[in-house]
This record gives sequence, structure tokens and C-alpha cells, in this order.
Amino acid sequence: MPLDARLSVVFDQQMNPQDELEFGGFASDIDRRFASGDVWFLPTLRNVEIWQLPLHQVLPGVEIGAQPWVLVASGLGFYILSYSDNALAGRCGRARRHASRTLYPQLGRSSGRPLNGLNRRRAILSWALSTCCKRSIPAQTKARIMSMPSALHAVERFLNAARRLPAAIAQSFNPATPADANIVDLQLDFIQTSIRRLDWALPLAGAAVMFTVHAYGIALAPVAAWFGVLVCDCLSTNISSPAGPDNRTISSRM
Amino acid sequence: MALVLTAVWCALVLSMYHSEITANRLFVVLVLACTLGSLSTMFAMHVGAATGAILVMSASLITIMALNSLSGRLTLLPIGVMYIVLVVNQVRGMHRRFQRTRRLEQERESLIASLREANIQSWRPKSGP
Repeated sequence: MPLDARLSVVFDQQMNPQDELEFGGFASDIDRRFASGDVWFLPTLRNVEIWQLPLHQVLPGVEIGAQPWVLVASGLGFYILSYSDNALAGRCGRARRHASRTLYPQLGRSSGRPLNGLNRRRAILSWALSTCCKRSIPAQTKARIMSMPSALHAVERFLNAARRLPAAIAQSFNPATPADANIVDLQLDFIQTSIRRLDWALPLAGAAVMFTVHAYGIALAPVAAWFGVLVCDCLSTNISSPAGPDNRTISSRM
Repeated sequence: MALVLTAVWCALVLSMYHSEITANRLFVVLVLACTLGSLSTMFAMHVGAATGAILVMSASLITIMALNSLSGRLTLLPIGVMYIVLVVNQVRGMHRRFQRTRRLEQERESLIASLREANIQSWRPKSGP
């Protein structure tokens, strides 16, 4: 399910919020989709949608020269691009210092002019995104996922839910754990309350509907017969299950 | 109980159907659609009850609209199918929210019980020298 994340690519945790917003505007202008590992990005005009957002997951695969870089997803959905030598924890500070010495000048030289400040960071971001795009999931998978319209996704979800329905029904009658049984018991209380209300409401509504259709020429006999069945069913329900807590099994309460 | 009640109600409404009276056709569709919406909302908490009620009501509604379509009036059938799909989606959402809320309540209750137990144990005088 896509998570609508505002643009959230930052270089370190000490970054100025204004810079983050500017990076947001920069990345949102990139009109292409890409993936890195299990995370899919869809930059749009004002935001970045992220599929399958993992928490605290490190996404390797970004390299420059002999030095690996990683994309890190934080718990808030922020992505931190930082250097790591296969052990990120506790080394971000050193990584940033290292990056300041090595990577930024390299990018500055590669673009043909010295970069500083925001432009330098933008260059790194652009390079990282293009690298992720090149090293991402194979093109066939990417095309298949991305070309599927959202309507087809909705149909797919609907069919998957329908496929799981028998198991869900069985579980609702035979809960596996005591916690599930507690939930099912509460659900049945709700259902019984609803049925008690319907036992009063449906005969009244049925009578109103019956006399309404009789007024414009529908024969009363078959309708009245079914109305009698309805009243008997409602009465039998009220007689067999009086209000209040009971100790019957789940199947007998349904 | 829910399934029987729904089936009897559907039979009552279907017994009113008369193909020659236009107002009656629309009235029956209206009654069934309203009942489908209200019953699905009332039974959404339990999967079995909701599934049975929605299946019976949807089958009745589609039957009536298919009969209307055989008479040359195709307008209501796609609208009815869309309505059923929307109602089913709504029921799924309600059920999921109910389950999630109830699980959160259970977790909170167990957490509070554990904290109380830990508090009692911390205040209990230690045995031994």
C-alpha cells in the first residue's frame, strides 16, 4: 500500500529544515520512478510516494569508487543518505566528516565546476537517485508493477480478500487463541444487540411496505404469508435468546 | 439467526415484486438496497454474520435488477453492482478497524496489568537476609 510520504531525503540529522524543504522541491521535480531494494519511489509534483516502507532498514547498493553508501529509512519515514562501511550505527558523524572530505569534492570535480552548499547536496542526491534507478529491480518487474493502474490494484486487493474469506469465516467461528475468542465474543454481543433491534424494526418496516405496495395493486396474500413468517422468526428469536449475558457456544449464538 | 432473518426479509420483499408496475420495481430495489446498507453496517463486526447477510441481500438485489434488465431496463444493474462493491469495501474497513481497536485495547489492558504486577512486586519486601 503506498504511503504518502512528503519528500524526505536528507543528508544528516543536523540539517536545516529549510534545506530539507528545498531538497523536497528538488526531488519532487524528478519525473521518473525508481526502486531500491524493496522500496519503490514515485516522485510526483509535490511529494514522494513510497511503497513497502520498511522501518530502520538499510538499503545497500549505492557505491562511488570503492566506498559504499546506504539509504536508511528511519521510523518517521525519513531517508538519510549517508556513508557506511557495513556498520552504520554510531558512525554517521564519522561518515559525514569522511563524506565532506572525499565525496563532495569528487562530485564537484565530476560536474566540471566546484560545488558548494545546496548545489553540492543536490548533486549528491541526483547521483544517488540515478544510481538507485540503475541498480534497482529488473526492468521487467518494474514495468509490470508501475504500469498497473490503481483500479487494477483495487480489483486485485478485492479478489485477494475474497480468496481469504473462507478462512476468515472459519476463524470467526473457531477462534484460535483466547485473545481471538475474546474478540469474537465481543463481536457476537454486537451482533445480538443488532438482531434484537431488527426483531422490532423489521416487522414494523415490513408492515409499512406491505400496505404501501397493496395500495397500488399488489396482491396481499403472498406478502402477508411471508410477513407472518417474519413475525414468527422475530418472536422465536426473542424467546430463544433473552437479553443479557449467556453461556452458549459461538455456533449456537449465530 | 442473522442469515435466517435476512433470508426471510428478502423473501418478503421479493414476494412483492410485480414486473408490470414500474413503481413497484423501483420500490423493491430501493427497499433491498437500503436494507443491504443497514444490515451490512450492523453485522460488519463479525465476518460470518456479515458475509451471510450480504450474500443473501446481494443475491436478491442482483436478481431483481437482472429481472428488470430482462425487461429492457439496464440502467440499474451496473449501478447496483457498484453499490454492492462499495458496501462490501465499507464493511471490510469497518471490520478491520474494529479488530485493530480491540487488539489495541487488549494490549493496553495486558500492559497495565503487567505494570501493576511489577509495581506490586517492587513494593513487596524482599525475603532473606
